[in-house]
This record gives sequence, structure tokens and C-alpha cells, in this order.
Amino acid sequence: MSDQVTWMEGGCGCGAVRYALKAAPMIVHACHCTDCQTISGGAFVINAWIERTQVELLSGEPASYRFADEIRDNRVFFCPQCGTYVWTEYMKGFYLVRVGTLDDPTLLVPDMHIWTRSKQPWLPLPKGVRVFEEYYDKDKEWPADSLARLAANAA
Amino acid sequence: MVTTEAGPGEFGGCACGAVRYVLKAAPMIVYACHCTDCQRFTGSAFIVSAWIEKTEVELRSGEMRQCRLATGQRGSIVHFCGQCGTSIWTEYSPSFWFVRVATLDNQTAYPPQMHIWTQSKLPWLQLSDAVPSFETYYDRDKDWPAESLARYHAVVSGAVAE
Repeated sequence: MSDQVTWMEGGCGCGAVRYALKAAPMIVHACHCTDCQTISGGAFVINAWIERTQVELLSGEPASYRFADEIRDNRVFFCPQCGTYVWTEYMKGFYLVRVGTLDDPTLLVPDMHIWTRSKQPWLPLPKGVRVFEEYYDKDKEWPADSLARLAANAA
Repeated sequence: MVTTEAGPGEFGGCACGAVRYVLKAAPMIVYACHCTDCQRFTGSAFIVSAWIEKTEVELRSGEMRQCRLATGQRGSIVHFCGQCGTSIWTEYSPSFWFVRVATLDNQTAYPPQMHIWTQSKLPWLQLSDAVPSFETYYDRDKDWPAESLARYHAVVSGAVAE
């Protein structure tokens, strides 16, 4: 991960929504769950977990929609003009920002691949990367400073 | 899902369920596109798109919003659920949709037959050699199955009513 980069700009496909991340994320997931496949239109989504306070909206105003049913409780934020999802709130105080919307999406590499039980069968995973069939234990898998940031910002 | 959705074809829809559609035929070609635009629209590493005649796609429910984008050779128009934002398909060419395969109920129905624009592939991502990869675009006449080419030409020549 590029811990040195602490200002990363990004935005939606039409350019109306622009944002900046003011810190390196706490963790970066590639999530292969079926929902992330649907709402990305790819094989998985790449999410950077970061404090809301470290996300600065530079222009535009994302629309939002809450998925709430027996398995989902989260709010997606997307450009109302072009539909590009920019981030999701799964936990109060934090956003999971879509790495693909960064102007340079190569800046953040997934720390782990999760929900690989629904991974697309044709897709190989990078060798040596942490892989979880479902979810995982944050206390065991996150760096200490990311855990501290989580505790400090949890609502 | 919904009982009224009987019949042949592959059903799909957005994440909130408002938009539902059916593909009445298999796509002409399915590819994973690694261009920087597709990375941004998916928020991920690539998009998986199924190229199919508009006449073979039926919108069953839901209202979509659309947005014209300065992508592709002539620009494109992306269509997304007006409620939850899930992008369903994009028009790069007037008679065809590029349907996002991941929005099908059966998300493994159509694996990509090629990877394109791999010159901007995310560096950490590995691809298998099972299907061809192209650094930029490819030659349709060489790289499409004959049957798909025939379908393509039938539409662009006007032989099929739009």
C-alpha cells in the first residue's frame, strides 16, 4: 500500500462529483460478494475503508440510497447525473470509497480479497494475497494503527 | 425472484430490484474492459460487458436515468436505476446495448471471451491465458465468432428492423 500518498483525488464518470482522500485508507478490500458484483458491473469491487472526516467533497452532491433487508444494511452514494457509485456507508463514521473512481486507481492495492466463495470462476487471484471465503477478524488482520483509527472514530 | 418472470432468457436487474430486464438471446460477445473509464464507472478493476442487439433486450420494470458521457469513439450513454444508481447498460452504438453481466441473476452465465485495453490493467491483477487479451482494441472480423459477426452485420446493414 502507498502509505506515503495522503492526498488522492477522484470522481465520477461525468465529472460532476469530485472528492479527495486526505489520508491513506485503513484497509483496502477487493470484495467478491454477489452484491458488490451487481453494483459494480465488474467481477468485484475495490473498497478503501476510511474515516468520513478524511473524505473531502470537492464538487457535486452524491445522491444516496439505503439497502435495508434481511442481509443488507448500507447506504450507497452515487452521482445523480451519471450514476457512478463513489462510496458506501456500511458503518457510521466511515466510508468505503471505490478505488476505481480515483484519478489514479493504481495508488491503492487490495490488502485482501473477501467473500471469494462467490468469486467469478474464471478469475485468478494474485498469488500471496490474503484471501477469505467470507469475512474475517479485523483484530487479527488489520494493522494496529488502523485498528486504533477504527476505535477512535467509531460512532 | 418474481413469479411473472417466467419464460426463456436470462433475467437481471439492479440492486434494489426496481429495474428488471431479460436478455432474449445470448450476447454476441462478452468482454472484460480494463480501460480507465470502465475502471471509474465500476469503481473497480474492469467492467464485464455483454454486447447484444437492443431488440434482444426487454426492460420489464423500473425507470432508468441516462447520462451522455465523453467515452468511446462517439461518446456513450449510460443507463442506471433512478432509485439505487446501479448501472445496467451502456449505448456505444445506436442499435446495441452493452449490458453489465454482473446485473444478471445468474452472474456466472457469461464469462468474458476476451480482455481488452489491458494496457491500463491494474498492475496487481492477474489474468489467465484461457481467453485472449488485447492491449488496446481488437479486430472484430478476426476475433469474433462467425455467427456473432453475422448478427452484427445484419443489424448495422439494416436487415433487422430496429
